[in-house]
Amino acid sequence: MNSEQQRRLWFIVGGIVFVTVIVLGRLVAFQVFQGQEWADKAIDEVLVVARPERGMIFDRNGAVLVANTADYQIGASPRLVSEKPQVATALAPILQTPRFEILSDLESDAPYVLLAQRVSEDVAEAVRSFDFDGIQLDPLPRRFYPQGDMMCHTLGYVDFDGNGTFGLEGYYQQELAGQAASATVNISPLAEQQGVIAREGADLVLTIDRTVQFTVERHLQRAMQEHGASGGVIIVMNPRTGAILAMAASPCFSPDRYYEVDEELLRSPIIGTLYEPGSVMKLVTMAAALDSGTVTPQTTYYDAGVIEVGGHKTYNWDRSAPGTVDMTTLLARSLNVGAATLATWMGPDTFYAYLQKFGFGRPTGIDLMGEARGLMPLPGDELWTESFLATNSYGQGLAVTPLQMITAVSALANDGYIMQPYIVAEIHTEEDVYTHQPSVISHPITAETARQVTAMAVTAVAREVPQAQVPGYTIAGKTGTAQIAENGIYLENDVIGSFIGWLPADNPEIIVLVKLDRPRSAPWGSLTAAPVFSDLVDELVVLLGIPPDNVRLRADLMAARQNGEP
Amino acid sequence: MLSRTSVWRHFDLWLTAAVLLLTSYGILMIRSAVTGAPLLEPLPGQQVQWAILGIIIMLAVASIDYRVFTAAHWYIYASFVALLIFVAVAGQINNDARRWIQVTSTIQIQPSEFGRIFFTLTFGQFLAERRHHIHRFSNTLITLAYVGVPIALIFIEPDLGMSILYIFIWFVMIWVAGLPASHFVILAAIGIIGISAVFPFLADYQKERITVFLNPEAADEEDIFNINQAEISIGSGGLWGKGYMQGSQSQLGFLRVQHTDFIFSVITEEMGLIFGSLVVLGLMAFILMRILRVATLTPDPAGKFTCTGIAAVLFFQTVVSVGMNVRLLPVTGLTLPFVSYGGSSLITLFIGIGIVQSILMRHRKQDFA
Repeated sequence: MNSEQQRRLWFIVGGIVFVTVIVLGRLVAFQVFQGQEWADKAIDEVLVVARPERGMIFDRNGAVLVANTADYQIGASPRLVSEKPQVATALAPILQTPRFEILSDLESDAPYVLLAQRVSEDVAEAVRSFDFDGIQLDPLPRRFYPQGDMMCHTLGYVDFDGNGTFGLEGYYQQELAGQAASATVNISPLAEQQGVIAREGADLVLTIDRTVQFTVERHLQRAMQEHGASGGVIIVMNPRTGAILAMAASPCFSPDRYYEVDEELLRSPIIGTLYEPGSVMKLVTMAAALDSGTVTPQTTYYDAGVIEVGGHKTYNWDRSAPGTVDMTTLLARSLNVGAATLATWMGPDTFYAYLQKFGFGRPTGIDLMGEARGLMPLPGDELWTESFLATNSYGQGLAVTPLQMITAVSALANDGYIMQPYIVAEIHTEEDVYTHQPSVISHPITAETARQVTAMAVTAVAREVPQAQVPGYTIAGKTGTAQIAENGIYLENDVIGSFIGWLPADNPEIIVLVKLDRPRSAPWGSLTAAPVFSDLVDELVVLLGIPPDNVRLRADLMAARQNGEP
Repeated sequence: MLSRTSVWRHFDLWLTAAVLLLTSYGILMIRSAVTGAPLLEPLPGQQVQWAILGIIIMLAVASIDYRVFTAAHWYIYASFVALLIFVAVAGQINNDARRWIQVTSTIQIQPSEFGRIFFTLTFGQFLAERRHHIHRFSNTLITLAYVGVPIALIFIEPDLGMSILYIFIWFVMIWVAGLPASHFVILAAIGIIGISAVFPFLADYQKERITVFLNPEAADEEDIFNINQAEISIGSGGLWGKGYMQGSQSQLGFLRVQHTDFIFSVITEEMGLIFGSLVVLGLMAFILMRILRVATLTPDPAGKFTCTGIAAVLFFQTVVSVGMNVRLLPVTGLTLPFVSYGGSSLITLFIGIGIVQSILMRHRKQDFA
């Protein structure tokens, strides 16, 4: 019996040896004879991608306009989830997904199931607080706008793939996004590790002051309501440098929910939408006429109330026929016949040469994505007929963006020079700070012409547009009331009322454009845009520290005396 | 007092050394396997603690005369079955299987895990008491009933691998006890019929594992993935391996459950055939031989059968674990003894070694049976 058991034990040993030989044989076959074949399938190297954080956007004083936050993608590894029914019950109300859907996901065989594509930090925190096994939260970067809708068009937006579109996000996409770094890295821990370091996104510091911007947006909102306008734009610019101090457009949208917005609304009315500027253009026509020597401020013409150019009859807006009129009165009373007369005196060559020097028909080159080039047919173009010489002179028959218009007129406020409009003052990269240097893009008229037209514009405001006056300051400016063309036909009742003004007239520090679309309170720019300008500037001078004329001039006088000048 | 110290004279240092070497080797490989998975980083440290606890338990078990256990074999067997019934009724469910008893909020025990070692003890004694009836077919049926109760309870948990392990223990032990070959042939015939009858009632994942093994093309991606990755790991290791912590398959997480089910793949990938496969299998073979040596030395049939049973446990788990890594056998989830991560598995194995030591230490005093 005992020896039988011993014999059987050896049998067991024999069995063990037999099986071991089989396993070893298999291993040798695997590891020695087929080793190379398998080694080729194994992966020693892996692609490592380092993603940079998108740059932030600050106002000129360092207030945060755009920052980064994270949404979360919530998924689960069903195998790691225990107590699936409880997990589903807990998550259903948080993720706002039917419980049975979550449960069926959790009971699937897939190694990973997606429970929620994108949820906010709050929701993620609620999910995290349960501390369930097998539930994964992966952060997805997203833009955060602490100022809400402020500057919506100017900032632009960033889609879920991290691509900026429109505005600053689009124009500075490369700088903001940084450079993701990727490299094929040998993952063997003993191999020398090479670093994969991304170039972080650059931060932008704007010329815009958040407080000024807020003030401007508040005034625009109030104006929209008061005048029942369908849209509006206000731009505040420093004519000496081209720096945009504030710019606002209405209606606005939330940049963090851009995808809910009608696509039309995403385009910036400030730089991307065209309109016919109307009488504001007479400033440019007058500047061109004076600068070309066609007229002097003392020149007069006879206004019969109508002028026919190229078969098209131009009348004054009030159908008046004021007779012999000087240049200042032409501008003050905004006489269409007078503007057309000046254009015919200059002739198309001179007139359009000046319009081009003023920048019409091409983008200003501001550092925002989505700028339109405007529409100005030139002699020789198929669209152009001789009558355009007349209609263009008073701002019809050509289309501009609000930014183009204010940039052109800024020549009058800056001794005849047009500065490059810009909105980013500094770019902070990891290593360097790039500062924008103001640059001249055009010099259409002489300083003398600029002074003469400004003087006329001061008189025009004083005589005809008292609504635009700001107590304590001398305002130069011009109203515009333009008809809106739709499909080539001017609409009966819809107009765009606008006003461009700059101050202090003798030494301008700011230039402001106010434009209201389809106001219902009154058709004339003098009754809609001008009072908005006045109310706004009344606050801006305080915010921007522009002293009233009498204070400033007395201070200049005192300074001059101290310097021993007469 | 003197007699007690003399007992330790027979304590098998070679066996202990081999077990400790294999456990240490395992801990090093677990460390490599979990590198890069922050959630699993504490595992090697925990395994060290389990190993230390295991050594203490092994010494404690060795110091107790195993006949204390064999004398109480009916109580142990009854408790084991009672625990399995408790599991079936009120067990803790993890991953669709009801195998655990929740002891405290953090500690769960798996009766079938600890049970396999105690089962070899009780079944050894049971067989020893009935060894004179071994030629009767009725005796074979009675032993089948004896083992059938726990197997049925484990099978319904469900735990196919563990069930097969118990069948294997039964077979090896009763074979050594002298099962007539004719009984074996009859049972094998019944078994084949039985399996084909049972197969439709297996849980889906169990069927799937078997069909994946038999027909890899029909398997779902995850299982094929695991098997393929294990093969790539083992194959690409070659003779000398890629070096400790340098296996691309394991370090990059291509292998799943690599610190438990697929630890052998990690070992072979990083350490190669010579220092990986041969070292692990060689140590395990040495351990098995030392245990079977005890079986030949002890004159007590119960001790003999128990040692054989414990060897069967180690052998079976090793072959299944390695076999599934090299696609010789289906994926079962059985661990590689002493190497895979797992506290209860390790403690159980140390208890087994402790029992073997206890049998060895007392084989000379077998004069009162």
